[in-house]
Amino acid sequence: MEILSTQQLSKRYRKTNALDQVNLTIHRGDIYGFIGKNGAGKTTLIRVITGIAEPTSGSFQLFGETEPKKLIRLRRRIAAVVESPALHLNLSAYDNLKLQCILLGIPQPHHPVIQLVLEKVALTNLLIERKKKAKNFSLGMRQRLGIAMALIANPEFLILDEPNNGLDPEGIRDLRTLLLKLNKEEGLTLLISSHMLTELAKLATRYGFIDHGKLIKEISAETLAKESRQATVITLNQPLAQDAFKVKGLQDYTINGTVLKIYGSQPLQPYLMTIAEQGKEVVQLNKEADDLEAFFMQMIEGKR
Amino acid sequence: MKQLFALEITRLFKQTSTWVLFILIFFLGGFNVLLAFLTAYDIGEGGLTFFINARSIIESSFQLGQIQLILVGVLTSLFIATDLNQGTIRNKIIAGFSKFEIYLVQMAMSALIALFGLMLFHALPAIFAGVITFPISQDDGGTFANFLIHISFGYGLVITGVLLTTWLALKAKTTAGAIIFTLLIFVLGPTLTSLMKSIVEGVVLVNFDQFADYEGFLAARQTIDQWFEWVYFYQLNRLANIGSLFDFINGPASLNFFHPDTQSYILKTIGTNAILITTLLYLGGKGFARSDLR
Repeated sequence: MEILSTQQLSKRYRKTNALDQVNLTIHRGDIYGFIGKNGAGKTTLIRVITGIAEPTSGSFQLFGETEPKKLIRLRRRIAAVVESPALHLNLSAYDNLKLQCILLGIPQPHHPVIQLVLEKVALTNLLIERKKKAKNFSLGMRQRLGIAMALIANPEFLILDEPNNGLDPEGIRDLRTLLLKLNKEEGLTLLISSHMLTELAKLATRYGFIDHGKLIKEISAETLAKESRQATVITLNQPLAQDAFKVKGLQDYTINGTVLKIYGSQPLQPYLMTIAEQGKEVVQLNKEADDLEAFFMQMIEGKR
Repeated sequence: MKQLFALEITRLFKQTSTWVLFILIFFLGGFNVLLAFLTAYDIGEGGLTFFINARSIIESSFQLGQIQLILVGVLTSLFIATDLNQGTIRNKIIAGFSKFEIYLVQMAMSALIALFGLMLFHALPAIFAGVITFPISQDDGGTFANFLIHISFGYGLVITGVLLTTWLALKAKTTAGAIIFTLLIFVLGPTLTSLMKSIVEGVVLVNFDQFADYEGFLAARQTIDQWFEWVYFYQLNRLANIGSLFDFINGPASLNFFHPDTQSYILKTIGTNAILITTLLYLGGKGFARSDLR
């Protein structure tokens, strides 16, 4: 079942196309990794889906519904942390969660619900520190509290925009464990936009790549693994010029200082001959597979 | 909607600025009473004599009228702008409320805060005036009745102003912007309107020879007055002017809905405010519903 699907969804800010006819689909149970550079349109898409911004054209379905009035009410089934967590900075964590309970109509007493959700995000100490205001929290604690506020709604679909911002390695691991648990045990569907691609690779079951407002590719984690290309990595004693192999018509490679990456199963001989002709020496030669980051960069550069 | 109101009321009383400003407004009202006592001396044949009554206390409660407006305006603007500034307004949208509902609740909250602030401001003067005049005579009863009519009329005008500042605060989306708009509405607006009226009068009435007699001159000036009676800031100015309270309390120009001297002014004020409030609620709400939030 589709949780979210967008049809030709566009958003224009004056002269900029923040979203350009995006068609995206998220199924129930997906952990959808949303990848793009800064300003690519990730947050804009999230803002439109959550109702914070209005689309310029196109439409989207949430839980199979497109009618705007019904969409407003259906948002009760989703939760989101968009950009920075939306906290009442002059209030404690407990009061923030209490206000969220009031907003969501969670009946009194709130305490057991709040206790439960703070346990989930490993923030139970915030219950003891009732007087500490959110403005005095570290970025990581704010992030966790934001996620706690989102989870208190018991959502079916959780949208997280850069959730690892400000989290320490332990926090990142805890969040990953929590999200995987919620996905597996409670069937929570997730849309996560993140710059931390290695971290996202440990979570996502599907990916969407966005650039300049256009969704350039949607791919499942399985297909990505299949498509991830092998590369031969050659380390040289001296750096090479970017166009060192162009004269021989060779194209599917990258040079980063002294590191040369040759993609796919193309013959190595022309490369090695050119290296020798230029008086460089091979220091090391390895085989490696593309990671998500390399895949993303190639997508953006149009090499895929 | 009920959840939104519950949230906003809880949020209001959890904000330190709310308590600070409410306490300030309350004691400012008390300061007015003190002023009334300090200035309650009449020069008579036997020298200075202490004289105070309900009217002098009530009249003094209008002395700091503009400060009261600014405080109430700042309080509502801070309350609204904080929600936008911190992004907590997004929680309401994601929780399944429409922007139109959120807008209406924000407006209603602003009106309630303003009403409560104004009542706090007049609480001590009213209590003292009541204590002094107890048991209340027919005359004092009349003063109180006029005071209540005048004050309700004034509250209506202030609420319109607060709705205007709330709308602007929602447009500005920053605390600083909201405060600036409050000052513009409650300070600069009435001042500029007075200035504008003086300019219009100067331009229209400068050539005295155009009038057949002095009556004609007065009639022309009255026409200008009548036109300006439609302007919200002129109405606010007239309310803030303590002299208008004397007018309302004393004899013929009392604030009587059916009195020919004041009826047209009252109707115009009700008309202007009704149009402004309806526009702010309906068109403002529709505009807000179409806008993007931060």
